Amino acid sequence: MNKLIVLLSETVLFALLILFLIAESVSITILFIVAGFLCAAAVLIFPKKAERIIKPFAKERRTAIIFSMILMAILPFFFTTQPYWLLTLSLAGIYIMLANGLNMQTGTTGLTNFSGAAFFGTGAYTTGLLSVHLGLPGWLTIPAGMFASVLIGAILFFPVLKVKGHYLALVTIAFGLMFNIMLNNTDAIGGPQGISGVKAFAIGGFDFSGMWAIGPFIFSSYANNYWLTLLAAILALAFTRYIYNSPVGLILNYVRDDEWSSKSQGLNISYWKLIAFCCGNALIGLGGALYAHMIGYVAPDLFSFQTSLLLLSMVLLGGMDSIPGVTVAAFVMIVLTEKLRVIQDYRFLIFGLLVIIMIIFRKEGLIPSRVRPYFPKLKSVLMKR
Amino acid sequence: MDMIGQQLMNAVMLGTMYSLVAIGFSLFFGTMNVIHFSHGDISMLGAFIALFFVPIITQYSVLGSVIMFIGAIVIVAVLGIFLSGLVIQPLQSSPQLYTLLATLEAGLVIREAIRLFYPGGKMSQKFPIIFPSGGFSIGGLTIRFDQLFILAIGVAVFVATVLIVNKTSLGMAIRAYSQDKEASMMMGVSESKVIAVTFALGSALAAIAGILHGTYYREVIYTMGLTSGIIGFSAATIGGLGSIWGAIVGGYLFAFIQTSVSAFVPGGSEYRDVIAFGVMILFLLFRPTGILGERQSERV
Amino acid sequence: MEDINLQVNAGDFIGLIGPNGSGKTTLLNIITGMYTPSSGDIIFNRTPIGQAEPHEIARLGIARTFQHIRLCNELSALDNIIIGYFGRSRFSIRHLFFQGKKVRQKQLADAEKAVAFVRFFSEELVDRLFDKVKDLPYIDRRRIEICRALVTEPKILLLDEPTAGMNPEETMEVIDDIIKIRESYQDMAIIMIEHDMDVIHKISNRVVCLNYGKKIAEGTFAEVANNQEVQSAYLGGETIA
Repeated sequence: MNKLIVLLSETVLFALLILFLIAESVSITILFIVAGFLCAAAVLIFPKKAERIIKPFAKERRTAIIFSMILMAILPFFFTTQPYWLLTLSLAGIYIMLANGLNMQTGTTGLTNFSGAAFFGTGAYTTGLLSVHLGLPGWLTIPAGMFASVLIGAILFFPVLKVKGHYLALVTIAFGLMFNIMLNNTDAIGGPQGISGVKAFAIGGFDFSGMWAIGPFIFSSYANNYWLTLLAAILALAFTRYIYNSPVGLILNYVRDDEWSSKSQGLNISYWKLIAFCCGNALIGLGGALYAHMIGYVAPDLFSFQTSLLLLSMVLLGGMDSIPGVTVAAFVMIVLTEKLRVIQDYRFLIFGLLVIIMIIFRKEGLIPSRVRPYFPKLKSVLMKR
Repeated sequence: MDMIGQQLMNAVMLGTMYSLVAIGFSLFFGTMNVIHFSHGDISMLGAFIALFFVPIITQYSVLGSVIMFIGAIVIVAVLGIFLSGLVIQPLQSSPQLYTLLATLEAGLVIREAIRLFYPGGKMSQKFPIIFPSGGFSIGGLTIRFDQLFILAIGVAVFVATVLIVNKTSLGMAIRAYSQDKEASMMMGVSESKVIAVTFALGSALAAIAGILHGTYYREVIYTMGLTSGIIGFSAATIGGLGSIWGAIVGGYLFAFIQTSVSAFVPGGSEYRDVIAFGVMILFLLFRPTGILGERQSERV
Repeated sequence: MEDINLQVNAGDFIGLIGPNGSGKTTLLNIITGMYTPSSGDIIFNRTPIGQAEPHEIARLGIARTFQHIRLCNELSALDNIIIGYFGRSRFSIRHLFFQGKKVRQKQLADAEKAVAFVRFFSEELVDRLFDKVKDLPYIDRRRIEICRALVTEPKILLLDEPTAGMNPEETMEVIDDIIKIRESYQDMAIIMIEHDMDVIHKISNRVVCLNYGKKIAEGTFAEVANNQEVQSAYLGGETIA
C-alpha cells in the first residue's frame, strides 16, 4: 500500500515538473508557482499533517529513491523537442552539488565559507585550462578540477583552523574578492574574457556533444550532459548522505556546536575541520568541472561574491545541515529563475529578502535537519518499551 | 618626490574614508558584539541619498551642500537604526552565523535595490562637485581644495566621534554598556537607547564616508559598498576591533598598503586589494586582536 | 596557580574543595589540557601530559564534566553520549571508507551500549534519548554529560560541581548516581569539586582544599576540616563540619 502511494505520488510530481517546464504561457507558470508556494506554506503551517504524507516515503525509502532516480533518468525522452530545459535541469544539478558541498562546510561543521564561488571557479578554470591547452580527456580533467579546488582550499587551511566566526567570514569574503581580482587580471587565463572553447565531456570514443537516437527519440548534447550531471549529482548526494549518517557527520556537528566539549571527548577538531573543508571543496570543484565541460565557457563574472551568497542562500533557505532541504532549495531556485525570465534580474533581491525573512522567522529553513534516527531498528526497540 | 607626495595625498584621502567606515564596525562590535556586514552598503546608500539633494545644491550652492550633508546623514542614521531593529536585534540570542548572514543579505538587498530601482542605477552616477575646485602647489606637490576639505571634514568627524564617545553622557552609557551589559542596565542605562545611538552614529559616519567618496571620485556606483564594507572591516580588524583609535589607525594603514603597492610594485595597481587583504589575513592569524586591541583569552 | 602537588591512585575518590575563586576549576582545566601549565608537569601512567593537547589527554583516559553543562543542545541525547566513543577511539576518515561495514556495526553496538548506560541511571531517560538535549530537564542533562564522560570507562573522571544549580532533591539524586558509579567502577579514580560538605564527607576518601591557587590541606575529611588554614579560608575560622 505504502509502495503504491510512493510510486503514484512520485509519478504525479514528475508529470507536474514536466508540465511546468514545458508550459510556455507565463500565466500557467505563475499558477504553478503560486500552487507550489501554497503547498510549501501548508507544510510549514501544518507540520503534523505533512508528516503523515511523508510517512510512506520514510517507510519505503529504498523504493522512493530508486523510482525517483528512474524517473529522472527517463526525463530526456520528454524533452526531445525542447532540449533547452535539460540544460536548466543540468544547471540545477550542478548547483545541487555546489550547495551540498557548502552545506558540509557551513551547515554541518560551522565553517563559514563565503568564498564558495572561488572554489567553484577553481574547478571550472582548471578543467577548462586542461581541456583547452593540453587537450586532456574529461575523465582526467574532472578529477583534476576537484583536486585543484581542494588544493586552492589549502591556502585557507591556516585561517580555517585559527580563525572563527566573523573573522573567518571576513577572511573568506576577502579571499573570494582576491580570487575574482586575480581571474580578471591574469592574462594567461583569459582575463575578463575567460576561457572559451572548452570541449564537451567525452569517454570511450563517445563525444557528449554528438547527437544520437533511439527510434524516434533524438538526443542532443543537452540530454547527454543531463545524464552526466544526473549521475554526478546522485553520486555526490550519496556521498554527502553517507558522510552525514556516519559517525563523521555526528562528529562534525559536535565540532560545530561546542569546540571545548569536542576536545574533552578526544576529538581532534583541527583534523575534522580540514576533512569537512576538503570534502566540501571537492564537491564544489566537481560542480565547477562539470560546468566547464557543459557550458564550454568560463568567465570571472560568474565566480563573484554574488554567486557565493547565492550558494549560501540555498543552504540557508533549504535548512542548514539538511541535505534534502539544501537539494530542494538549489533545485527550486535555479529552475525558477530560468523559468521566470521576468524575475531573472530581480532574483538576488528576491532571494535576499527571502533569506532575511527566513532567518528571522524560521532559522531552521524549509526542511529542517532532523535528529539522527540511527538505525530504525534501534529506535523501534526503544520506543516499544 | 613629486610622485611620492601625490601618492601620499591619495593614501590620506583613502585612509580617511576607510577609517570612517571602520569606526562603525568597531563601534558595533564594541557595544553589541556583532559585525554589521551591510555597513559598507549603508555608506553607499549615503552617497545615493545625497544625490537626491542635487537640485538643492544647484539652487543654493554652499547652503545646499550643507543641507545635502545633513539630510543624507540624518536619513541614513534613521535607516541604520531601522536596519539594526530588523536584522540585528532579533538575532542577538541566536548563533552569530545568522547575524552574519542576515546582515550580508541585507547588504545584498540594499545593493540590488539601488541597482534595480534607482534611475539608471546599473551605471555609475555622476556625483556633484560640492567643494571649490582648483588648488595650489607646494614644492611641486599639487594639493586640490577638495582634498583639503575631505581631510578637514574627516579629522573633524574623528574628533567629534571621540568626544561624543568619551565626554558626553550618551557616550558614557555606550561605554558602560559595552563593558558590562547587565551591570550598566542595572545602573539605569537604557539598552534600546544605547543601541539606537550606536547605530545612528555608526551609520552617520558611513554616510559621510560615502559622500566623501563621491566628491573625491566624482562618481558613485552601487557596487562600491561591498568593497568599502570589506575594507572597513579589514581596517577595523588590523587596528583592533572595538577601539575607535584602532579603526582610524587601521584605515590609514590599509590605505597606505594599497597605495604603496600600486605605486611601487610594477603592474601593482590591479593587485593592490589582493596584497592589502593578504596583509589583513596575516594580521588576523598572527595578531588577531589588531594593533590597539586588548589581548583576550578564551574562557572555558 | 602554584605549588600544587597531588597524587591520584586508582580507585581514589578525591573531594576538591576551596572557596570561590580558589582555582578548583582551573586545576581541572590544567589537568585536561585546556590550559597549559607554565611550569611543572602532570604525569599520567608515567606519561608526561602537561604540554599535551586536550584531545590527546582525553584519549588517554581522562574524562570530565563541566560546571556549566556543555552539551550540544541541538543534537539528541543519544548523539551526545555516542560521541564519547568515537572521540576516544582514534576514529578517522580512513575507517569510514575502508572499513565501512565495521563502522556501521560499531555505530550500532555503541548506540546499544549507550542505551544500557542510560538505563543504569534512569529508566525514564531511555524513552527520551531521541529528544534534543535542549528539551530535557536540567538533571537529565547532567546525567547525559556524566554518561558521555563515562562511556569509554576512563581511568580518571573529573566532576566539576555536578550538583551546581540543583535543588536539594535533585542534588540527592545526582549524588546517588555518583555513588552508583563509585560502586560499579572500583578502579576508576574520581576527582569531584563540591561545595556541600555533607556530600564530600559522605563519598570522598580523601579531601584536598585549595585557596588562592595553592593547596592548603590534604587528608581525610576530619583532618582537613580541623585544619586551621582551611577554617580561616572559609569565612574566617568558622568550623565547616
